[in-house]
Amino acid sequence: MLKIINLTKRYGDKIAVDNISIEVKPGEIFGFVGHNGAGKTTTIKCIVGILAFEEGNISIDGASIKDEPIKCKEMMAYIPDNPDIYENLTGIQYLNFVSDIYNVEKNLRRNLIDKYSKEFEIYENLDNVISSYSHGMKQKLAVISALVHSPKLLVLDEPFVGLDPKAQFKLKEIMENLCNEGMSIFFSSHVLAVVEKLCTKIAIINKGKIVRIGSVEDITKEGSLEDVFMATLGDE
Amino acid sequence: MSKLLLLLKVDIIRTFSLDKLKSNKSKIKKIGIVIIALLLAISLLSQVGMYTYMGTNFFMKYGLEKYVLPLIYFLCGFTIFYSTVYRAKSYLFGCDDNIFAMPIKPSVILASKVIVLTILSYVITTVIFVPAFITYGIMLKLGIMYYVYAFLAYIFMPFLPTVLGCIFGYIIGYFTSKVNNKKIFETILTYATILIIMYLSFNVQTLALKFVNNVELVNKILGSVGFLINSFMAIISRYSFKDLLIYIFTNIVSMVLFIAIFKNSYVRILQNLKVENTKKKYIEKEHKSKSTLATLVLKELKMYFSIPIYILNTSFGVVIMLFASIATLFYDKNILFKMMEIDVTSVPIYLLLIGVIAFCIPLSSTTDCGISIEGKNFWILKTMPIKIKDVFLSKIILNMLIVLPLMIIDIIIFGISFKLTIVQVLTVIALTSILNLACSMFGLIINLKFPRLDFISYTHVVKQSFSVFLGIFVPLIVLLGLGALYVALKLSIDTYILIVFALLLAIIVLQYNILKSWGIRKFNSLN
Repeated sequence: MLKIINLTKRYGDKIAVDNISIEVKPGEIFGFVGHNGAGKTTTIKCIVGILAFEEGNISIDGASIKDEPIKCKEMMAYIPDNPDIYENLTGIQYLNFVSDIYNVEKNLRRNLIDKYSKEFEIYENLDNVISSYSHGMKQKLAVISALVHSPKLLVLDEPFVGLDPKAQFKLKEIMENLCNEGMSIFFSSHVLAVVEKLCTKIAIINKGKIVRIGSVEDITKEGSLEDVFMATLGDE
Repeated sequence: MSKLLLLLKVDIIRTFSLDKLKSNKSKIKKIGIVIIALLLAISLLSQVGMYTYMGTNFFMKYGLEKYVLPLIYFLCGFTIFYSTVYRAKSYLFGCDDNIFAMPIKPSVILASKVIVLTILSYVITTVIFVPAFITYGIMLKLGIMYYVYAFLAYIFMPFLPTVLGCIFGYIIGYFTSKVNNKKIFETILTYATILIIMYLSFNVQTLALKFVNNVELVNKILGSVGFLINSFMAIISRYSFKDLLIYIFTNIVSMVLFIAIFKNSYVRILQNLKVENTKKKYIEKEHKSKSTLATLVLKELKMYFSIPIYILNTSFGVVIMLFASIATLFYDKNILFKMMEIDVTSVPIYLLLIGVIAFCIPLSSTTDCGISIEGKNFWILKTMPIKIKDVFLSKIILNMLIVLPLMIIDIIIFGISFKLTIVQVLTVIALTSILNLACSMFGLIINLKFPRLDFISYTHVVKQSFSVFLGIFVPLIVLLGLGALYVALKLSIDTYILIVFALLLAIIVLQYNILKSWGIRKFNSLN
């Protein structure tokens, strides 16, 4: 579903992402971990089309983000680390805005908005302007807006930050269910226990380079993900 | 360092962007900025000096020159008052949350804010009062005592008007915090104030004559309520030390009292202003699916109407034109041209109307900050499956929707007032609509070239960005060029209009091609 081949991204002279290759197959949950500033967000921004990149290729279900950006974006959803969404709209207006852009059929839209907003307990707040929402509520709305158009690939940057424990649990449950239905998920996180428990594959990135990649079972053979992470990057 | 001084230091650095002086800008750029600032200051100061000279001459004819400086004092005070009211909303009531989490007394926070507002008021006092009192002193050949007393009056001048402005801003803040739709209330209030100021400034001559004819009444009013202006007159004309002390005392005490009285309610108002209307419970409604373009346009409209400073800055031209057009129906047909000091006998009315309306169009451009205004939400447009040309189109359509309906109403009313034929009215509508399209496209190009996505407040992007400056002035220069073309070539009106039509269409085609190629590339490179 997601194929990153030899991706390199530079900011001036500085190499932020250095020749990385990753593949996420349908039904997989891929965890992307690393220190602050290791290149996680840059990689994610390249995948979703926010940042242009110099070398390599990224394709979603066979379509290149460089050559067919609209087709790629139609298939995926992105949730940023900071839920900066249109504060002047109400929650429901934002969800309808996203649904209209992705051409979500009326009844399906109503059902999905109803389902997810009730699950994340913001249904009653949907008529309030987003500026009145707490950080967690905005994060929940961003998650719902990503799910409302049933993407094939979900790309999340630190999705659990700001969510209350119940919402974190719910999101994990939803992620697992969606993957069972064939969706692919690529997400970054600092919560190693969640990554270990939730993911099928993991990559550890350091200074723009992938230092470990593989299935959770392979990587955690020597110990917990936290132990492996510390052994790999602890002295950095 | 005391907490007040620490806060003041941070507030001053933030308000005057002093941190930018340490930026990586080259020396040449820094020197350029200083030279431009100096030139602007010299031009402003000399203009005020010239107006004082003319005013003093006028009042000298009636032997009333002693009222010149008190009038300037009043003008200065009013300007400080108005600008403080305008700033109070965003500055006094736009505090960061974390400042209240720090162990700082509300009175210290309020004092720091009021002092910075007073420092800003000194800019106005320096620009208006300093050249005026120097010009006045030179004209009346006054001695050193005059300059000493006038200087002391200048030092304490901004205190009371700033405090009054804060109180008025405070009252507005209080009522705004009680009203559900804060933004509309704020916009209406600001428009009402601007219209009052415009009425006063356009009637300055009539008011000056009324002043001259009713000087005894003015004296009576000054004697009863305008004690501070009276004190000011005594300081300037009689060098009264007693009045100087009263003047200084009143100004300082007003500020201290303001802080002492309002320090407690300050926090309460801030808390109320931060509470958005969250009482509504969602009730499911039927949703209609829309096309991508319609969705984007609707989003643009919602964003536009939720940012008062954006509305104010871009609708000002057409709204003022609407009032002017109504005034031509009921008041004076030539009011518009009198306001702009245009000789109606030199150019046909029909052409003048096109010129005046065209002049308003660049002032009403929403596109010259249309990309920047996305700010931290820009990622949404970049990650969604939207054609970039649809984004551009939605920004242009917003501009057309904001400007065209009001402009067409203005033109129809002008058409009735000036008895234009239907063909003439339609020509004005067509020409100004095409100009509006050209300006919208230009605004978009210029904003793509000079975007400002990392702004802190909407004021920075709507009022102070380079793209807005260029988006207004470049079209105005082009319009002046087109006007000069008419005068230089002495063509018939019909031929001239045809040439302008052709030129505008050529500009539109050129801009379309720029947006289609460079514009899309540039949009993709922004993040």
